[in-house]
Amino acid sequence: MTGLLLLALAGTPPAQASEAGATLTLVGARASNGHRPIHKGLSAWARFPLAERSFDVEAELTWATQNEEFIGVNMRTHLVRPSAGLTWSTGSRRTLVSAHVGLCLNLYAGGLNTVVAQVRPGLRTRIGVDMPLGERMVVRWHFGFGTRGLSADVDTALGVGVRL
Amino acid sequence: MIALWTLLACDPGTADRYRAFVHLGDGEFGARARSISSLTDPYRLDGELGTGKAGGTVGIDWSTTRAIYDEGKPLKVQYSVQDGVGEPLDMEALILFSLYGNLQDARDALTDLGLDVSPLFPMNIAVSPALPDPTMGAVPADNEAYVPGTNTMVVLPDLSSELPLAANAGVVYHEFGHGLFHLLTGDDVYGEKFVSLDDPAEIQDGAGSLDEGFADMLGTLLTDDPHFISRSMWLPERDVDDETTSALGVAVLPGEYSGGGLLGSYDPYPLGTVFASVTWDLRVAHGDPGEVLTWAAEAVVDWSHGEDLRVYVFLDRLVDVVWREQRSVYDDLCDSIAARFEPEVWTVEDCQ
Repeated sequence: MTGLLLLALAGTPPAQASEAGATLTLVGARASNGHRPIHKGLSAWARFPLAERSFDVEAELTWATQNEEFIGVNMRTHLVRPSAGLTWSTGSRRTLVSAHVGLCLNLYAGGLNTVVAQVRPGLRTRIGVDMPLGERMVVRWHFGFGTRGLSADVDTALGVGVRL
Repeated sequence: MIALWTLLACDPGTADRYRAFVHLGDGEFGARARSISSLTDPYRLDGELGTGKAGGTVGIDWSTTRAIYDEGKPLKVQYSVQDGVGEPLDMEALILFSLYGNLQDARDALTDLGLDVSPLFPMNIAVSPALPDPTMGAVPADNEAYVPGTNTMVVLPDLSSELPLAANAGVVYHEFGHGLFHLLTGDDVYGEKFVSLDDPAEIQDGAGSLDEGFADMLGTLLTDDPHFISRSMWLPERDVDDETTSALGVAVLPGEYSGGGLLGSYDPYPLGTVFASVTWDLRVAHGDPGEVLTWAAEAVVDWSHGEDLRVYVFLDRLVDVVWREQRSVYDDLCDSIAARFEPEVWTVEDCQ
């Protein structure tokens, strides 16, 4: 990872290209007992360059779910989290290291007879790496946090995107 | 029918009932709405009975060898109120509501029996704390505990798909029974145990067994279920209605080799099950589990405040209580003691 960062930092400024893609996502969503059970899901993102070349506007939509069952009582929880904010990037023309800060809205849903959903605003932060995969494709990895009211969730994701 | 409710407000509303695991009868459990009037702040799991905290540490002050509890962070129970019912959003909230409801049931049932358990409230409820006990600290799951001297109920996550331990009323009553044992045998729920590390191993081990046995008495008699543990984990050796359960079958009896001490290796459960089997026999003979429990509590007080702290003397005190309170089951009690303890382990002279 250190080598990758040095390579990225030593490179030329990032390209002015939009980017979109999807990832497989694991979210450790804070549960009522303070644990963060793993919710598995998907994310989609899109990044649009601003005039200021190191900053992009980026939007992300994450859905993750987890199921627990005891004595036939089944509880599935879902986390749906749209977010948007600014991403600062640096690196070579193709390999970018990025840091993202933005706002998110969390829909946390679960229940038994009645599916109940809470909607909580929060902050979204993330660090990530976009690495080239062919001419226009990229591999993205990120690690991030999202707050949900007074709770904090943690997530990591790996996926592919395309530079437009 | 599934309905989708979406709430933007931070306040989920006021509930007069909460969805929790409840006993439906015949050993079956399900999630139903129930009253938990003692729970005043569900988001923090806070109320008359105590406050839940996430994490924290249960440890030992090595300078005094006393247990200590450093509380963790406030809980954030995920729930919302629909039609007056606090609906859990995740399984953990369902289990925590179940725990609080079970604690309330224990308090109410014991109070109705005339036992003053008010000194035990409010108690600490430690959810997944770090633990010093190597048997629980290595795999901090599938177990519950009460920590005497700190008045702390420890709740750990469940790995199996059986009834969660905190949702099993009998298990919660069992753990609460340790608190009641500490209260009955001492003067202060935050005080030291009534037996100390300076006592002979036989006394320490025996007190440990009766502590477990009395906890099983609460578990079995308050639920009127001799198999309450097996609702969550298959432990038939802990059933109290097995006629063959006897002290003769216990591999190691108090003081035989453990040496006592802070890290004593004595297993208190097998002999504890024998004691609880005696009171179950009494329940079968008498028909009123609640009254049998009050006799057992009275015998614990008499035994622990007496001169002879050998654990089997509890049986003598129980015979005394039954002789005073209900002579019609005196012979049944003596027969049970004879079958489960005599003559090799202990003989109650008054039964002869």
